[in-house]
Amino acid sequence: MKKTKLLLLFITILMILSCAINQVADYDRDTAFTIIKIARRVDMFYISLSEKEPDVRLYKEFVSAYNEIEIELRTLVMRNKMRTKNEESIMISEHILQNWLEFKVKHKKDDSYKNSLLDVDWSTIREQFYALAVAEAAKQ
Amino acid sequence: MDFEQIFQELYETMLKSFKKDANKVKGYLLYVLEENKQALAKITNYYITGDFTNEEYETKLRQNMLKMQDQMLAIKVMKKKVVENAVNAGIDVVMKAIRII
Repeated sequence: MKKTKLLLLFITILMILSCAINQVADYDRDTAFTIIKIARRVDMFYISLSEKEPDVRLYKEFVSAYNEIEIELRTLVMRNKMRTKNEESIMISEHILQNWLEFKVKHKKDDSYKNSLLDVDWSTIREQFYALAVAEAAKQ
Repeated sequence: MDFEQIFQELYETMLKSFKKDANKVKGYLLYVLEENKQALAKITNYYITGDFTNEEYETKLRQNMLKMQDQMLAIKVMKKKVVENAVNAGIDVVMKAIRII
């Protein structure tokens, strides 16, 4: 009986140790800070956009902000790619970049920005940043 | 050495860790469901009122789906960490028992 229990314990230990692998990347404080910093820049972008009337939200006035945020997003994607077991955060940051570029192309094409589009785009990207921040915080 | 006690402690420790972290996942999941309900209602409303063209409506739905996918990916990370934390808590119990043996 005692031998059976010992064997059971041994099997349990083996099972647990075999599962004891890190499934996600380690938490990175700098990345968490960077996510918040870029999200803040995007918020500032939309606040300044919303202060103007839709018809005078000309693309040329916002092109430098678009490009600066795009560079920061590309750097964030690269930072996430440098970490192992980080597939989810890589994908989220790539999706944020994808949406950001689509918003930029649409603004360039229309050379104006409707209130309805601003409303939906702002909340979409804000939630994407929130998802990225939640994923990073979960790694703690 | 009381093996029954070890298994009981292992079970309780892992369950406690799992429950604590699972509440965080549940909280975010409920938030995501509500947020998407509101976001889709908003997009549809802009389409009904004529603010969005057909093309804009389809684009916004697609971009929202991308966002939903991101939220699910965040939940996936949380879920992985729940399991990891529960397993690590279990390992601590087993390692403690081994030291006693």
